[in-house]
Amino acid sequence: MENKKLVEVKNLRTYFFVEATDKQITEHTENFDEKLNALYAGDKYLKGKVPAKAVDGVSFDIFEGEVLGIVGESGSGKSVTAYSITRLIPDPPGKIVGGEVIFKGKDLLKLSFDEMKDYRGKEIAMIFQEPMTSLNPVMKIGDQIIEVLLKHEKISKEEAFKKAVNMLEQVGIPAAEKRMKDYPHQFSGGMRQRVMIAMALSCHPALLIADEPTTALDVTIQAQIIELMLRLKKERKEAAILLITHNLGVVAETCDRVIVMYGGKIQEVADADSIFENPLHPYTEGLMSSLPDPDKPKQLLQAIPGIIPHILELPKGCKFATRCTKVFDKCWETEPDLIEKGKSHFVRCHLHG
Amino acid sequence: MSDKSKEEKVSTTLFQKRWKKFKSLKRGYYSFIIVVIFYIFSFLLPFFVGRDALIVKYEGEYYFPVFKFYLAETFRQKEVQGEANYRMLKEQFKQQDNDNWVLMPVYPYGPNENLLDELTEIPPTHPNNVHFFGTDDRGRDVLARLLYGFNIGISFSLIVTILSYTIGVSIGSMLGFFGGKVDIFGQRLIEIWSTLPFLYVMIILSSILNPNFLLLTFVLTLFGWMGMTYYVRGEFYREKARDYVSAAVSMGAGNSKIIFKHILPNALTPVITFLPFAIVANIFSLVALDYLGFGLPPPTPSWGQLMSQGMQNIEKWWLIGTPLIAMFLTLLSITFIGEAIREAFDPKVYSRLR
Amino acid sequence: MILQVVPGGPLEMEIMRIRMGGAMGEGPSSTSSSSGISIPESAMEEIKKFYGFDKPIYERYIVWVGNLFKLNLGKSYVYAEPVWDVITSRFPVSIYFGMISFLLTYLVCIPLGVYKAVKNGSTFDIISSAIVFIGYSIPGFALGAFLLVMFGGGSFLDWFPLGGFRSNDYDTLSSVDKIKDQIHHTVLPVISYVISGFATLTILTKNSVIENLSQDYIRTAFSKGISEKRVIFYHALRNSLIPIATGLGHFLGILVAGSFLIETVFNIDGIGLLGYKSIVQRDYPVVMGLLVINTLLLLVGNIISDIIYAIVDPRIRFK
Repeated sequence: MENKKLVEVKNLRTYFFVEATDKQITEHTENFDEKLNALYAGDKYLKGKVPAKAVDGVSFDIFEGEVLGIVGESGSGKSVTAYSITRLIPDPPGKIVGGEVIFKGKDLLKLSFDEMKDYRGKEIAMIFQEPMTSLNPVMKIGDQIIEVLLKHEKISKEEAFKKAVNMLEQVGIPAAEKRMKDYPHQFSGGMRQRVMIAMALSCHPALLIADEPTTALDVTIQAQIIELMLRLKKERKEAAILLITHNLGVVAETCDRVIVMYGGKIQEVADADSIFENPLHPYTEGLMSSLPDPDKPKQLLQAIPGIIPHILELPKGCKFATRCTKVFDKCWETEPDLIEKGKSHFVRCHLHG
Repeated sequence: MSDKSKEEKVSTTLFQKRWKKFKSLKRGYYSFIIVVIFYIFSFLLPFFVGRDALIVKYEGEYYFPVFKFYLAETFRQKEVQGEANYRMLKEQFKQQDNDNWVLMPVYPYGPNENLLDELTEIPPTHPNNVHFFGTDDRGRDVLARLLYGFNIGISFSLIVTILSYTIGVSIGSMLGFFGGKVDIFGQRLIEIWSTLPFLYVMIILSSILNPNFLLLTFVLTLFGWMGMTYYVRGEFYREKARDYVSAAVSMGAGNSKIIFKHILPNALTPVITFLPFAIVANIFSLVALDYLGFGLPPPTPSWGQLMSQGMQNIEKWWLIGTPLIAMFLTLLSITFIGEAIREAFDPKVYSRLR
Repeated sequence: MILQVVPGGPLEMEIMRIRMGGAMGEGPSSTSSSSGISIPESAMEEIKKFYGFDKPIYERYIVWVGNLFKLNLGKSYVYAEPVWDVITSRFPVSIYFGMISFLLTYLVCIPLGVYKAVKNGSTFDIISSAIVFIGYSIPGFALGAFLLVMFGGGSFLDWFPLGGFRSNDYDTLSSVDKIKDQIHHTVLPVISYVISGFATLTILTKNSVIENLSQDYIRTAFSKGISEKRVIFYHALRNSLIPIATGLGHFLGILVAGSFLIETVFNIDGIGLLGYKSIVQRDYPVVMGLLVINTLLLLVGNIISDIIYAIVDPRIRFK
C-alpha cells in the first residue's frame, strides 16, 4: 500500500478576497505578511476587501494508486483545495497566495497558466459536481470528447472519434456512436455525468479529481458513477483518485485514506478504516455520529450543533471551537497543531495534544 | 411591529450599500451631481439669463419685473410697445444719471426675445462677446435658447419616463403576477402595440393635431411603456416562484400586500437600472421630433429646432455645433450615471480562471 | 414562437388603418388651410371624390384591405404612380446603407466586445468603453448634421458632398470614378448610422462573453487542457453569440426600413426620406404603404431572428 508520492501539497493557501465591513477590514488586515501586503499594493481591485481564508495552510500527499477522500461540510475548503491543484480558481475573487503543489517533481503553482494546459486533462483530469452545467451546451457530446483526445494524443480525427465512441461505450451509454452527435441537453443528469467521466478518463490521467461527482444525482445512480470512476484504476494501477465529498457513505466504500477539513484547515488525516473505527477529532466524531448505524436502527441520529460560522468570523484558536462539545479555554486561545497520533493518523486537537 | 422596523433597517442598509458603491464610481457620481445641480439651476434661470430685470428702482419705488409684468408706460418708455425693454431702460437711466437704476440678470437676453432691432447684421449672427453663441435665424440669442431648452428637454423626458414607467411597471406586474390567460392576452396586445412604428405614428399625429407639451408627453408615454413590462413581468415570474412569496401566501397575505410589499421591491432593480437610459432615449425622441418640426410648438426653445435651423443655414456652424455639444454633454453625463447605477445595483463579478 | 408573432400581423394593421382612416378624413381640409388658399366648396367636393374621401371611413377601409391582398396599395397623390412602385424604387438605396451599417457594426463590435471581455479592467477596456459611450450619447442624425457642417462644405472643410446617394452626373462617370463617387457619398451617412449602435452591441458582446467565461462548462474546458485561446474563441464565443444572433434579424429589419432622420439629414432618397416627405405632403397612400411594409419588415426580422436562434442554439427546435 505504501507507494510513491504522486502529488505533494505543501502549505497551500488559497484566499478569496471579499467585500467587508469597516470593522472586519481592520480585524483582518492587521497581521498581513509581506506577501499579502505586496499583493494588496499591486492590485486596485483588492481595495476594501479582506481575504477569506478558504484554504489556509493545507499540506498533504497523494500516493500513487490510492483513493484519497476529502470530507467536510460546504464551506470547509475541500473543493477549493482540489481546484487549487489544477489552478482553476475563479479570479476575482480567489487567488492562490502561497504554498506548493508538487506533481512529478514539478511545482505546478510556479507554472504559467498556459503551461498548465499540458497537465490538465492529460495528467490530472477532473469531474465536477454539476453535470447539468459542466458541459458546453452548444457543442456535440462527441466533439467535446474528441477535443481532449486531439489535444493530448497524437492521433487522427477518425481515431479520436473511434476512441471517443469506445469511451462512451465503456461508461455504459447505449448506441454510443449515434449519441456522439447529440447535445448535452438531450442527456439526463446521470448520463451527462457518464459523459464527463468518459471525457476525464479518455487520456488515462495519473490523477483524477472528482468534486462531489454524485451529489447532484439520484441515489440509485450514485453507486454506478462511483463504480465507473474506479474503473480508471483497473486500467492504470498507479493512477490515483482524489474524491471530494460530504457523503461519508461514499467515503467508506471507496477511499483508502481520508482527510477531514473544517474552516480551511485539515483537522484529521487517517486511513479510512481507522477514521471510521477511531475518530479522534470531535468534528470527525460528530460527522460519524450523524451517519445511521445499521446495528442500532432505533438510535436517533446526532447532528453537530450550530452551523459553520461565516468565514470571516472563524475563532482565533481552534476553528471548530464554536461548535465543539468538548471545548475548553485553550481552544479559544491557540490553534492546535496537526500532530501524529498513531500510524499515519494525524489530528489537530488540544484533546490529543 | 419589530419585524417591520427590522425589515426597513435591512432595506436601508442595502440602499446605503448601493449608494456607497455608486459614490465610489467617480465618473457616474460626479456626472450625477453636475446634472442635478444644472437641472435645479435651470429652474432659476430667469434670475441669471433673461430679458426681464431683477430689480428696477424708478422714482423712488422698487419693481421686480422677474415676477411681474410691467408695461413700458410704467417707466415712461415711449419707444417701446407692450412690455418694457429693461436693457434699454438701463441705458436710459445711466444717461439720465439720477436715482433710477436697473439690475439685469448676468446674461440679459431671453430665449424667445427677438433681437432684430439691436443686431447690426442680418441674423443668424456669429458668436461674439455680447451673444456668446450667436443668434439664430430670428435673431434670438442661442445661449439663452440652449439653456432654457435644457430645462424643457430634461423636464419633458423626466415626466415621460416616470409616466411610462408607472404604466409599464403596473402592467408588467399584473401580467407577471396573475400569469395565465391575462398574461398571454396582455402580451399579445403589447406585441401588436409595439410593432407600430413609433416615429411614423408620432409624426402623423403631430401633423394632424397641433402638438403641445401635453400631447407630446401623452403620445410618447403611450409608445414608451412597453419595454419595461417585459422586465417587470420577468422579475415577477421569477420572484413569484421564490420561497418567501409562498411563505407570505401561506401566512394569508392578500394579493396587494404580496405585490407591493414583497415582490415589487425586489423586482425594481431593472426599473432603476434602465431609468437613466430611458431618460436619454426620451431626450433623443424629443430632439428628433423638434428637428423634424413635429415637436414642441414654436417659439419653445429647443435643441432640435436649433439644429434644423442649422441644417437650413449650413454655413452657420454654431446653430448646429452648440446644441450638438450641449446635447452630447447632457446625454453623456446621464449615460455615465446610468452606467454607474447599473454597476451599483446589479454588480457583476467578472471572475475568470487564470 | 413564430406563431406567437404572426397573429400580430392583421390586427395591428387594423389599428393603424383605423387611425389612418381618421387621418385621411382630416387630410385635405388641413392641406387647404395650411397652404392658405381658399378652395371653393364645389372644388373641394370634387377633390374629395377624386381621392375617395366622399365615402365613409369603413367603406374606404374595406376597399383598402381588399386591395392590400392583391398587393395593390393604391396610387401616390404626389408621384401619380402606384405606391408599390414608388416604394420599391427607393428600397435599394435604403438597403445599401442598411447593409453596410449592419456589416460594419457587427464586424467591429463583436471582435471589440470579445477583446474587451478578455482584457476586462485594462486601460484599453476602460478607454474603449468611454469611447463607445460617447458614441452612444450622440444621436446619429445630429452627428450627421454636424459632420455635414464640418466636412460637407458648410463652414469649414469641403471633403464630402452635401448628401445625396450619388452625384447627379453619376451615369456619365467612368467605372472607377463611379466607385469613388459612391464611397464619397457613403462615408458620412454610414458614420451617422453606426455611431449609436456601436455601444449597445459592443457592451452586449462584452457582457455576454464575460458571463459565459464564468460558467461551469468553461471550467470543464480548461480542466481538459484546452488552450485559453480556444476556450475563449470557441467555447465561450459560441455561447455568447446566441443573444447577439437573436437580435440580428430585428436589427436588420430596422436598418432595411431606412432611417427617417439620417436620410432626411443627408437627403438620401430612400424609404425614410420618402416616409418623411409623404407625411409632410400628406401623400396618404404612400404613408399607408410604408406602414404596411415597415410592419412586414419588422415581422420578417423577427422571423429571421427566430430562425437564427434555432440555428445557433441547439436547445431550440421548431416543433
